[in-house]
Amino acid sequence: MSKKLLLVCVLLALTVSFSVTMAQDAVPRGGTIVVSEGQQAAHPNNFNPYAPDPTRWTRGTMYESLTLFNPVEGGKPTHWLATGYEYSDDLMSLTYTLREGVKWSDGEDFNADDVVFTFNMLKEFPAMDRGAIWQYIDNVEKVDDYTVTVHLNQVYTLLHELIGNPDNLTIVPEHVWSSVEDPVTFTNPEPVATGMLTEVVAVNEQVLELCKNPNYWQMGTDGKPLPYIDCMRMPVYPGNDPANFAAANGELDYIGNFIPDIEATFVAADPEHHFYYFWPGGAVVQLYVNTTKAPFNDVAFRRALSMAIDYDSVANIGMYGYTTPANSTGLGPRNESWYNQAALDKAAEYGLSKYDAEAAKAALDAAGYVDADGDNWRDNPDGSPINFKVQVVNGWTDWVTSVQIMSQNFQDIGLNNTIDVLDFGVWFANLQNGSFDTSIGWSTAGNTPYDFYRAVLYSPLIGTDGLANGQLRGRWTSEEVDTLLESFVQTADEAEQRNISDQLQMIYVENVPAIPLFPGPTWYEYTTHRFVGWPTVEDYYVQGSPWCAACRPIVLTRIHPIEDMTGQ
Amino acid sequence: MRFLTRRFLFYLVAAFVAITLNFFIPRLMAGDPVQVMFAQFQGRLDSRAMESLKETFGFVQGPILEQYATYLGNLARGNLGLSISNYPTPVADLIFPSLLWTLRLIGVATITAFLIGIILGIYAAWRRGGGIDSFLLPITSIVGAFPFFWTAMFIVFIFGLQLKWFPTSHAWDIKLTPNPDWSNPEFVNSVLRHGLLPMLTIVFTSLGGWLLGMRNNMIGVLSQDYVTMAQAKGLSDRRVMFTYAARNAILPSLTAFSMSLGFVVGGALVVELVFAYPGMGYLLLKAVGGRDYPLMQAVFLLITIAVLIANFMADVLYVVLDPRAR
Repeated sequence: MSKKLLLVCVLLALTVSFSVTMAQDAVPRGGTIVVSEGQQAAHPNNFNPYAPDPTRWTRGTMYESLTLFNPVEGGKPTHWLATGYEYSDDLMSLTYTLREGVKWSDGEDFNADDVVFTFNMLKEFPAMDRGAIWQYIDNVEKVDDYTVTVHLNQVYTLLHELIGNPDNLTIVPEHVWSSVEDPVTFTNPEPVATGMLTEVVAVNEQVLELCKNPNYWQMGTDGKPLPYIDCMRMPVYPGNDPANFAAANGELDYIGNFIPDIEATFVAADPEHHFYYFWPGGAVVQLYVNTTKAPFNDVAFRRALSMAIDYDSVANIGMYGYTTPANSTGLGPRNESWYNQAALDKAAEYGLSKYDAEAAKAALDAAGYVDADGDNWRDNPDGSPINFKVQVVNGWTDWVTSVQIMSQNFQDIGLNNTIDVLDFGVWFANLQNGSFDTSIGWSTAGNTPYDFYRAVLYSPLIGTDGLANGQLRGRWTSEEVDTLLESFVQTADEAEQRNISDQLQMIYVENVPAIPLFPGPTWYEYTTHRFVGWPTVEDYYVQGSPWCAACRPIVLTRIHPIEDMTGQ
Repeated sequence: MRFLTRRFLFYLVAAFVAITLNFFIPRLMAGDPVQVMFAQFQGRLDSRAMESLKETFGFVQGPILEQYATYLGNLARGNLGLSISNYPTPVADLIFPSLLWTLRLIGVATITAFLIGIILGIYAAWRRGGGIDSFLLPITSIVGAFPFFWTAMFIVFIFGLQLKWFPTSHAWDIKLTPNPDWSNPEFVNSVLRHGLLPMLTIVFTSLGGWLLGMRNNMIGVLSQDYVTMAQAKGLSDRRVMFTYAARNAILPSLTAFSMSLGFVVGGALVVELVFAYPGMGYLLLKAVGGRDYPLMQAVFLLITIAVLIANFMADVLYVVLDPRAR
């Protein structure tokens, strides 16, 4: 615990010294950044951060969270409305020290009452508790005006991450929200918030325009309040094509869209000013196999499938070369510091996650999957024919192409299979209730490996109704894994957590509950016609995607116009 | 009068049937809003959020007859409900701005195309083998037969991208003013400039249909005895053309026109997509994609009511124009 506190102090000291030494540097200010992140229909006037899908940029940049966790730096905390947090020694309480001097955009002071009020509102209205944080919380106590203690009802040492996620919890002002009768259906048309962009200039069928908070608490390196920019503007483009056209035209500054053939369409339009970086930090996409059915219940068969897939073609053709093949542990680059080399070595020993059709055939032969009835397709060891389907969502062209490649790969090693293209609703229901053979699907990515393994392996996620929540689609479970996952969040000792993570990775490699394909690329493009300070490939200080609510506030602390645009 | 009363009652029943179908048909689609919201985030949403979303949208999981009763009750009070994909924004707030843009753009374009088409059709039939009949008619028919999006893209390419005469997207210039401001002449000018290309596209593509229909009806009517009689009496060509022939020939076109006026409310999806125009067609597409039942219902309801009203108006016009219908 003291280690965490020490880290906080060091960071604080760094911040202070940084702002002292840099205080004199003038930074160009002003201007309006133009953003596009896939808004295709009218912007709703709905600045309630607890709405399922509120107006863009409501979370993080308008309503702020206590601590932000940077997905790029393995979840390193950036203290925001809180200056630090600490678990008690018995891990049954989590105490936040709040920042003093923060003002709401209407000029009132921010303090512990607002934080306690927000927590209790989520308790009273579970429909607003997106992160289900109250399943771990007993009560939230105001210690003094700038100290709040969260008392847990069970040990859960990742609670600070759940609380820090702006999609789960952002602080709302008690003096405004306490008079709201039903916060669930409140559209909050005149937002009062602590964030950088709080002034709503326009929210209509064509554009969202937000401008800076006159009372913002955070100072720039020039000693004046952030942000350096004045406003952000987000036009509506119905469909990808008009948005990509505007991007190539240099009309946009900050973009989070999928752009096909990006080098030729976007970069080539102006190589001096147009950049992108698709950090592969998204959730790993996997081929899920239904382990309750033969032949997928046989680990030898699953291993053979893992050898049969042409991962490079999937990444280069299916995913346009925007990502790279995944490794057998299921963890992506976001958890790179957690990789267990022993597990990776074990995977190499088995030949997993490496395209080798001959090895796959040999593995199938050895396990007894041979052609018994002479139809040129392999059969089960008991002689019954193998014929399975690979499910995919209709219209998700990258996934459909990937599945076509894999289906062909499986046919090449003698496995009779067909592709089943389904509407999203049907596809999703099939995965939940287990009526599928194999299917492509996403997983979960978090700052620690816990999020991935919990979502994919934790057996309590199969509800009493028999539906698999999370991504427990293959339904491969074990008591050992459940115990490991539970002990991961029972300890705050990172060495202990690493030990557990190592074991989980080894189990994943040994049992192949699903076949990892590629980590999801995160869409992010930017232009430097007017503004600079963006995350770049060399200095990727935070995930660039503007739709990432935990990331864009950090981007906004850095970007500024090339030349002063004040008053323009 | 009895005719009109009967028609009115018929439309009333039709409206009720439509309202009922309107409720049930969207619910036959696979997938519920919670799942679709999950799909939108493509794995970025924590699975824990599912529980709170189910809590929020519990109302779409209740017994269907109970939902139906609530729906009828709300409708009677003029309450269209809250959108699901943009929960809790009221559906009316989402529809209203789009509806106005659609009515202005598609409404004006439909009426323009109809008026021009009818008048040209009258002249084409009057001077068979003349300029309109032998050139304009085939050209407009060919344009009308092209795939709609092709024509739209072509117009965008020529007038927007090559000649750069007109803007190619949005309903007004957001750099001029982020909010609509009708008291600002520059804004009005911007709206007109932005509306011109999409309007021309609609007029060009639908003109041929009106022209051809009117011409063919006209030719039939022109061979009637009473037209010959009118000419024999020495009435002016104008009088014979409009008051004798066109008045009768227009009746079938009028029915089609009233139908298309009703459907104006539904917007023109392709035009809106190509020109990034904030209309109803795109709103409806997003509503269907997001399984946003209240929004879908409201849009369908508006279309239904508009079509029924337009049809009723056509019936009234029939009575005025054609004494036999009285």
